[in-house]
Amino acid sequence: MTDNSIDLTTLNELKEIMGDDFSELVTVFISDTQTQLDDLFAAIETSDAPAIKRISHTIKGSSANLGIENLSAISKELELKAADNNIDSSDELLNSIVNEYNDVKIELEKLL
Amino acid sequence: MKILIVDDELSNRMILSAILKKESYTVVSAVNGQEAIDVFQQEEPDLVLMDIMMPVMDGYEATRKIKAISQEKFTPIIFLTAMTDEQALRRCVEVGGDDFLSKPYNQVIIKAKIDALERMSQLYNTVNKQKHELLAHQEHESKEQEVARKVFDSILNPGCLSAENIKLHLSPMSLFNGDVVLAVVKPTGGLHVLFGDFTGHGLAASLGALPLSDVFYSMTAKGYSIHDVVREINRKLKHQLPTGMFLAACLVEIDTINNILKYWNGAIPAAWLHKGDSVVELKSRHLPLGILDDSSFSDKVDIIKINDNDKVILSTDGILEAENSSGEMFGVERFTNCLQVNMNNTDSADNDREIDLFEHILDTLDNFIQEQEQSDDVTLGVISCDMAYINQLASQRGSYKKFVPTHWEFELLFYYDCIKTVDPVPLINQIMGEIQGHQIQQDKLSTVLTELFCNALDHGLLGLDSSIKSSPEGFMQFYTDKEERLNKLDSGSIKISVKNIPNNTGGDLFIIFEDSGQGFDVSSLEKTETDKEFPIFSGRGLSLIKNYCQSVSFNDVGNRVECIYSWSNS
Repeated sequence: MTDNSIDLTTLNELKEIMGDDFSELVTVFISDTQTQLDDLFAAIETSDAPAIKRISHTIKGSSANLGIENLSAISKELELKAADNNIDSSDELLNSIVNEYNDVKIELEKLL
Repeated sequence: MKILIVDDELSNRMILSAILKKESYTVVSAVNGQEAIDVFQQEEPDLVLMDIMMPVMDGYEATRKIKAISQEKFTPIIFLTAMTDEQALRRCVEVGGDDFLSKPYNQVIIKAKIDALERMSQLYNTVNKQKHELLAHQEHESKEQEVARKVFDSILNPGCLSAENIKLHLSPMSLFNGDVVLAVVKPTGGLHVLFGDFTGHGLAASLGALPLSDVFYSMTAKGYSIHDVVREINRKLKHQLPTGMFLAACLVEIDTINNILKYWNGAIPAAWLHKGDSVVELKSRHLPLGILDDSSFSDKVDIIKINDNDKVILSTDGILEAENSSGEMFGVERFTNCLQVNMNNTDSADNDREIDLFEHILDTLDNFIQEQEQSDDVTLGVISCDMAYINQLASQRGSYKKFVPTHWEFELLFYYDCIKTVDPVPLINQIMGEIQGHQIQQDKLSTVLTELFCNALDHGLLGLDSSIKSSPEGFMQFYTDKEERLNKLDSGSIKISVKNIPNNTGGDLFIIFEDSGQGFDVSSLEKTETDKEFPIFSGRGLSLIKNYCQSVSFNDVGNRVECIYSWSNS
């Protein structure tokens, strides 16, 4: 995992705001993102550009909230390509997203 | 303050909710646009945070619908989106979004944006509340005016404004512009018309119409001519209206007996008599009513000979001041020009002229002002001087019904204690009015009755000597003595009898006053009559009676006087 994976300033601020609910937030993020990755995989299988765009948009936003910047950035790239109906390289980006997610998940679980 | 979060992502809702709760806001949430509308209606939040991309219904649609159902109260909606996609931003604004918030959420920025929007909504809601209060006030006022108008209508219009010889353009709300039009037929035939314009507008301007119409109708009914009516109106308005409020007015009397028009014009700028071959201006020669004291007031009327086909044109300043789109006023010149229209008259065209003139003035005015909606301020009347018709109006009116002169007689006996509190003269007038109509109540008759009563009381019962009144000291002494003697009076009476012997046009009244006093030496009265000096009566009283009556005679004792007074019904 690179230094850019998680912005600790954002995450620490969030920890302070959420207080006791922080663990729950992390748990929700991990499980929801997992569900979205499954949906994204299915959308790429069926070349469903609007679905790819919508799901990557969601991952982009929710990861940004937690300061998970790389995951947010790659998701944004996929969202923009899907918006242009350019889904040829979706498999590669999905791989990157999954890798980032797995790295981040390990880091986040340490916080629980 | 209650805030609605609309986002399909649980983690997003959790974070926003945590931030907002930390700032002590109440938080409600919805997971899509449709649910957002339901929660909005149920919870009535003060502000909405709205995600865009959501299942079931997106943020654009939800925002459009929420804005539509919350028009009365300003509820700000903040879109949860990064400000990078210009197209998306434009749509947000189009559907009614008020601000944007991008991820990752920052507590300070969220607080600042909510505070700014809260100030905006407070301002909006205050203005909106005031707008509603204003509308409610306006509605209330117009309802009150409507009620007032109905009350005024019933008070102001017992007259004959709807008579066929009167063409009138009068807005139902003209009263609240201060315009008043009154018309009533005289008991003896003839017509009184008043065109008035009170200063100011609104309800205040209309209030003066009450004493005005009261005097106008009651004095006309009693047979007074317009110079008496106008004097009394001035006196009453001067007394009752506040300083600075007065009435520009033109009073017109169409005298059908002498075929003349009498008018008194105080500051009405548009009054004319259309005589077929010429137009005569009914010039204003007086100040408006309610300004001058009675002593400096002039009731001088102008008199013009009239024919049946003549028309009186009266208008308040609404017509003259009517403006066209370029701000030009209609003015006196245009008005008088359009009165020239019927000058090339022939007798055969006379029947149509009345309608022509009235319609012609209004048409000319409409053409002048064109699309401007000003006719509400215009008060215009055209009155035809058709004298046979006017006389017929007088005979149609129930209250003015011409009483046929009949045989009657009554006798009243007032004892000493009654005399101290009751003035018999108005009582006698009232009895005669009930029997014979108002025609019989004439100023002269009242004078005669008053003098007869004074003589019977002062000299008969109280034994006062009028001759002492010739010096100022004696004058005062006379009234001091009278008061003293009247207080002490403990016996005696005055008997009054009135008998009518009718003839074709009225009748002869036989009036007898008999007191229980000592009487006087009637022969001395006859002896000194050639010198116009009366030892007992101070002169004026008896000579007035002698002037007004056919005959005056005393009994030998001098405590009974009999007068014959002739009256006419016409």
